[in-house]
Amino acid sequence: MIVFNNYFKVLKKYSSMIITYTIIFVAFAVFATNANTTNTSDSFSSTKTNVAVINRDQETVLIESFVNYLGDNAEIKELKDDEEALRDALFYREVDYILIIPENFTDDFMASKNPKIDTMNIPDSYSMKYTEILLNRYLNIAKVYVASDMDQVEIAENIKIDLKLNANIILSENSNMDTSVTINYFFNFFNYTFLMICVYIVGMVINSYKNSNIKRRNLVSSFSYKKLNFQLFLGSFCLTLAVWLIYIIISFILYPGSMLTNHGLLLIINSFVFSITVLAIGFFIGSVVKSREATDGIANVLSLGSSFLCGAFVPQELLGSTVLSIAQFLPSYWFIKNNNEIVTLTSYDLSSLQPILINMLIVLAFGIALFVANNVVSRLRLKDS
Amino acid sequence: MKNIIEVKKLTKHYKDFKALDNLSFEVKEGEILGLLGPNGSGKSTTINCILSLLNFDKGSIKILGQEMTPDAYDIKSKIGVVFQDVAVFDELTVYENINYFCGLYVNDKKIRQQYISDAIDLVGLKEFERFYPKQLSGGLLRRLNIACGIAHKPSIIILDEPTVAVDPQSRNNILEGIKQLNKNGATIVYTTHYMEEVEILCDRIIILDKGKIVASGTSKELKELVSIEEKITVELESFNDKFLEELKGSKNIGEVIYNDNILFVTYKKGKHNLKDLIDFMQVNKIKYNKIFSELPTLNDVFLELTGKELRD
Ligand SMILES: Nc1ncnc2c1ncn2[C@@H]1O[C@H](COP(=O)(O)OP(=O)(O)OP(=O)(O)O)[C@@H](O)[C@H]1O
Ligand SMILES: [Mg+2]
Repeated sequence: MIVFNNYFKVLKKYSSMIITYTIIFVAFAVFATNANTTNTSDSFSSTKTNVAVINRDQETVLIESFVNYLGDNAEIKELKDDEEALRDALFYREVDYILIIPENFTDDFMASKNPKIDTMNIPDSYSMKYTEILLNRYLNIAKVYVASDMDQVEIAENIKIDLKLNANIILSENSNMDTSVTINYFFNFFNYTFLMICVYIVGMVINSYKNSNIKRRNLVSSFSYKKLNFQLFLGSFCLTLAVWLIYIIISFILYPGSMLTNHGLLLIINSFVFSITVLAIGFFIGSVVKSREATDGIANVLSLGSSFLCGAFVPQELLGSTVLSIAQFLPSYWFIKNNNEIVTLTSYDLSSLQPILINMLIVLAFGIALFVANNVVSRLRLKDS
Repeated sequence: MKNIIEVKKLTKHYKDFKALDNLSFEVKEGEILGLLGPNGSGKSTTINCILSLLNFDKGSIKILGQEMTPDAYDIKSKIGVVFQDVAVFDELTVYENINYFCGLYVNDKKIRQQYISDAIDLVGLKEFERFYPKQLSGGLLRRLNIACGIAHKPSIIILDEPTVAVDPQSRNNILEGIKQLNKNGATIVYTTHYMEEVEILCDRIIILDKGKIVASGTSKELKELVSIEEKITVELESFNDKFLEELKGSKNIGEVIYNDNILFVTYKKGKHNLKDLIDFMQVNKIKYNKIFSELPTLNDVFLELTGKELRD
């Protein structure tokens, strides 16, 4: 295990970098927690979220019951169904959130066709997430009843009872909202420092072994190159795992209450999946990029760039559609998107978890693609020399 | 004596450029073989082919009687290589570097420790064990590079210009070290474009130019190839054309050049050449300040064989 052992000796030189970035990270997380809690508790006590519902469907029992339910939890505002009027209302903060119920919504919904309710909102994490929770909760329960063949009236009555029973749960979940938002920030920002640390270090170390003059020394030695590659992979894996664990431990220290919830656990799993892909990125860059200076540059550009493009610093809702369509080609986008979706989850059955799992698979697919690419490239390179 | 390395009809192209042209030679057990050639003559290419780091077009390479291939690990375990470019981890200390490269060959920790300290002693880096490569001078770094290549006590050692850009002290240390390794039983291939080094160090020399072997043999044998016996340089106060013509007509004379009060005479064969020249000047009452005689060097050999200087 000489190569594996040596990996960690080489790593020693980079420990200060791990510490520096982790300190930046923790400082940011603490700052975000404070900023967020004061901000949200304020808005929570003084004003209810203002929501407008634009109904382009018929006045159906289902919709009426939904609007009533919203009205119990938020302030309903009347608005004209006119593009400009809606924008203005958002701009002047008359409303925080606009729901647009499309034509035939009720029929489609009753036929289990999963119609979409369009939304417009001020990208403010609190009122937005709060309304989303209300919306999802109602629709998720309604879906279950549709599936068991109830009609609109029955559904409306049943939900009314359910949501009354669950009122206190919603309430407690609401008070959990602000920590959910902060752990959301925590894991989004994770994209930056974690990418930086792992891609930089794995890249640098692999680069030393595989792309410098040292490579020739390895090649002429009696140590098999396959074994060497495997041990390098193992070393990189352990490093990534260790850094990931440090961050998870930090999350438990900073948010002891929120990490052992469903949200917390899903965020942990999501970050773990992302870590595997980050490992693949580091390994790929270390193998393909020829110089250490370039590796350094790429690690910086990648961690900062993806964080800006994919919404680690600024919420994805605030980013333009062109930016987001570019961002889709980066695993960070799906990782962060998933973080955002996880914290708005209100039920954990298979159908609600499905999009979350799909996001994870997309992230993982990036990693697998890079591992394959890495293998192909290093085989070509070996033939070349 | 057994052949340790046998290179037969080795030809290698880089795209259209022929870097090695039908090269054949062998390395015998226990010798120090020098590969001497100017920059770009194909020394490194030859070595990289021998080590299976490069594919070649034609020819064969056998080491210890066995075909050399990229996965001939049993052969590789007996070879130590010092590359032209320094190859060490910047992140590791002198000791850790040697430990790693030695560890690629030697598993046993105890034995390895012994080997590492032997290597450190050999190159004289004892006080620098805890230094990082960036803290070492060029010469010391080269010594570390060598220690990393030979710490596992290989029986075949291949060195590619290990003394390029090294201060004289480190150079002597390195050459002494190589002699020591050879005394301990290692067969050595030594590549350089410094003729002085091969003369001091090597039992046998192969002179390369443009990917071809132009001559080989001991330094004495090589010098016998040249027609020059002796070169004499004289610093004069005055000289004239009559003397110049007369001197050109004397016996054994090769070339006579006079320029700026410096007379340069080469003698082809024969003895007492210096005495003859001094006699000539005394008879003709020519005053001189300094006079000295040189034997031909490998540079003269190279010059005569290729028409150009060994060093640029
Ligand atoms: N990868 C390559 N691609 C193309 N040409 C190459 C390559 N490597 C070497 N050459 C050419 O092949 C010739 C032999 O190069 P080589 O490095 O073997 O010479 P060398 O004798 O080791 O020279 P030096 O003393 O400068 O190290 C040179 O003319 C060089 O330009
Ligand atoms: Mg060379």
